[in-house]
Amino acid sequence: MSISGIVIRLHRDSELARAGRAALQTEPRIELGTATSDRIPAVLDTVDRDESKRLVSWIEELEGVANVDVVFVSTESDSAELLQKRESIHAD
Amino acid sequence: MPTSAHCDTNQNAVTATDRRSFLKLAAMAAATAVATGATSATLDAASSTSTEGGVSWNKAPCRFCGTGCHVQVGTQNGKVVAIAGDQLADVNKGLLCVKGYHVGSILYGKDRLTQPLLRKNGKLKPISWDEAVATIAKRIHAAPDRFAIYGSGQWTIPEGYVAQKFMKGGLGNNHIDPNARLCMASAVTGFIATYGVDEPAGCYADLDACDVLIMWGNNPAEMHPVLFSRVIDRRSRGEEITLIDIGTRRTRTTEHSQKFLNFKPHSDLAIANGIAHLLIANETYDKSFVEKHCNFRAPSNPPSLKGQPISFDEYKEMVRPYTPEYVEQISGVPAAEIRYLASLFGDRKRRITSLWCMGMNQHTQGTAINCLVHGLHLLSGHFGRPGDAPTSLTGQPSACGTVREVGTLAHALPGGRLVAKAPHRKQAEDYWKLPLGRINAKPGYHTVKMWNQFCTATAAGGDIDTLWVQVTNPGQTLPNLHKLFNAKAQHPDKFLIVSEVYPTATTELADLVLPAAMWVEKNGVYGNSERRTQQWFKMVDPPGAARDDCWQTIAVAHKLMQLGHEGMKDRDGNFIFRCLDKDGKEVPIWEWEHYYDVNVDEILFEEYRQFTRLKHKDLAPYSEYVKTRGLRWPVVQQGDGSWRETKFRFSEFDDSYVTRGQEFQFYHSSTNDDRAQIWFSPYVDPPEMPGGDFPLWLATGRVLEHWHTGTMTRRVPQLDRAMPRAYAEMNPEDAAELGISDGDPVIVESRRGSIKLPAWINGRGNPPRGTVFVPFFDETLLINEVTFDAHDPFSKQPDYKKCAVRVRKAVEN
Repeated sequence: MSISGIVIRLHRDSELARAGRAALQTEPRIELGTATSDRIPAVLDTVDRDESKRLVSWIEELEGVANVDVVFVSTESDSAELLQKRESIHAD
Repeated sequence: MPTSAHCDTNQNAVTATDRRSFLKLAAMAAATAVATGATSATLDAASSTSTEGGVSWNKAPCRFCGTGCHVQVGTQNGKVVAIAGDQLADVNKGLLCVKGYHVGSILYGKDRLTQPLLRKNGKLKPISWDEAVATIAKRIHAAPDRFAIYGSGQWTIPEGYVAQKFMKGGLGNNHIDPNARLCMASAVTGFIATYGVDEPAGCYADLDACDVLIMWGNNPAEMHPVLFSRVIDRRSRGEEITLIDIGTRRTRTTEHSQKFLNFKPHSDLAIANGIAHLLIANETYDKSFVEKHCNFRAPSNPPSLKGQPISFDEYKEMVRPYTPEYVEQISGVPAAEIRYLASLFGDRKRRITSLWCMGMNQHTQGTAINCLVHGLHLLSGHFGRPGDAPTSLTGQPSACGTVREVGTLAHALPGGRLVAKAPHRKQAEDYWKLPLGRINAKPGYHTVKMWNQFCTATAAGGDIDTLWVQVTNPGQTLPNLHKLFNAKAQHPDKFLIVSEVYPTATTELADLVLPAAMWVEKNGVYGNSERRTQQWFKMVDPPGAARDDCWQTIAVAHKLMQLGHEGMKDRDGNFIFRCLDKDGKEVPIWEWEHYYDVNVDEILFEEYRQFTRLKHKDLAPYSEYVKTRGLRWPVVQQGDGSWRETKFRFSEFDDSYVTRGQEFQFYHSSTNDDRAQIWFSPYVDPPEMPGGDFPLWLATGRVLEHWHTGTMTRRVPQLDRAMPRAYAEMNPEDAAELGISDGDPVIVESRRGSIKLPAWINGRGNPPRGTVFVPFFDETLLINEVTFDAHDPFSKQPDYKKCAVRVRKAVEN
């Protein structure tokens, strides 16, 4: 599991920006927040950090996107099984 | 230690879904903060007090860390029902971290303490407040010099002030010390040794102006997230800002930093000396600043915070051995990176801010490393312009306001005074209207000594027999718990009083538990990390018979007076906490029913305010703080009657106490010449290092989800589910050598104790080889039974970041 918080700055050209936003909305691993002018907060929910990096690269390459800033990164790699294993120790 | 009922309820509550939801919430909060630009926008004004839809809103500083964010608290039908970031607050401009958004829930854990409890036949039994107050007063009256108070950086300013006056002015007893001794005492001694006066010269505005931010063993991304957002916001707007993380493990701060300089534990002194060496060798230090504004100091024998004077040439010789290659050998940081750091400090065009917190303070050389980092800024002239600042952060909401300014330390008096100085004692006795000579000249016991004396048998010299804990949880946070806390159980004649809001590791051994009001259940004033004093009003009633800590102290003081203790009277024979109403009639504030007949906080604050001018920490009248989201001292009255705060101390452009034409003036210089001190301190090995049977370094610390010992945040279901238990973060190669897999139960063991907990390979911090990290928030897994009580010789602050341990896989039945 890898969770990232990012800020996407859209292109100044409104047509390109609109296309960029539409492309972002097609990607289920991206949750878009409330936009302020040309900037959209978003959360990426991916399997691991490599996938997260690939997704950021994909966003950066969208024609309607001017810039992407990563502002929050979940640095752990967890699984439900491991969480369960940890908890079982305390249940002893 | 037993688990609270609340924790049992949640024992198996964690799921990957909870964790994912929590992380997504935190990620969206961080992204929204930056995207909305709230950290730099000019915000519309909004009323600080309003009512809409039946919900009343009022301001309060957040209850958690030392950042000092303001929240808007929504109340309805006597209960806190909503929390919002306060857009009028300069600190956070409407933003909150994930803990801050949940701060209202801390009041409503199911196991709130609601009545006094006295231990009888081994069990805590309900008693009346009258009996509780009388029990305490009688014990103190019987042996006032064997009584101690252990307080907190979570005390409000009036609470700490009352405890301070009660002890030093009433009982003539200096055995009062706060938990802040464990988290920022080395910052205090560092500031005093360098500038002659405590607390940072700069403020959070430095984060908005710096070109380089160096974090020395500091993790603001998780521990002070709103401050960190200010920096990340700038970067997202296209500003160039270089973040450098100098640390012993990776954190979320590392992820945002251009450079991570991984140093061997304790070797930060060598790094600082290495930078100083290069600044001089390359002649890139600020010669003009140094010649006009600085002296040089080296350790003295006997050791003192004034040290011994040395010349620049002697200083140059002392740092000469710290070549980049020598520093690499000690610290593990490549020589090229030491040169890089020196090149940054050597460039006066850049603005450099250093941040630190527990990493530098919880250190057996804590005072020394604090002084060295201040010295780098002074030597290079990176001081006193916006963005050029050495700045320490605090972990508690009023570690600065209540501990450092009110002076609730065993050696201090309010306003930067010392019990050892006769003129300071006389000033305090005059402000307090006490008979001259009432205040004891001998400093009391600092935290480690206090608890050692309490946990030592009376016959063996343990001369503290009654100890009152307020607003803190030493049963979880003291180092070497078996020695400094758990040993109390062996001494039935010792009496532990605990004022608390929830059952904790400390109440487990308490003889008397007093239920306390918390946060917006009472009036309060805090002082945050940037010298900002912040006020709030009571908004809801505390549950059951819970009462303000301030009232508790005053009630015991009054009972002592009734028992005949002369110390509870001033020189005119009046009660030392006498409060008058607007008609001049005394209000019996020691009776709970009358405590809120007057604003006791305001009366105490106005009395305390007299103390603040000696060290130019001037506070405005209480009424000014009611109107604002805090003011940074010195707050100086202007010709038109208004009050002006100070962002940058010692700098002529902003500090009205600097003489015109001086540019910079260190007006409390310990050498009485308006100069700051640049110190040399050598690298020395720590008192315990890995080797032999204990081959690994252990560091302890905090996690994003929980605040300190988790007493409050573990009652917030969202936070508790997100991080329900402690763990041992391990390096994968170390784990493989020991046959340990992710999630395996392991024993972490030192010479002092051991605990069993699950391994987390890499975890959040990707610990380097030879190191282990364990958080301390979990009351069911007390890592401080393993830690070491060795402490800094000046600040007396223990080192929680370094001790030697071994780890082995636990054998399961």
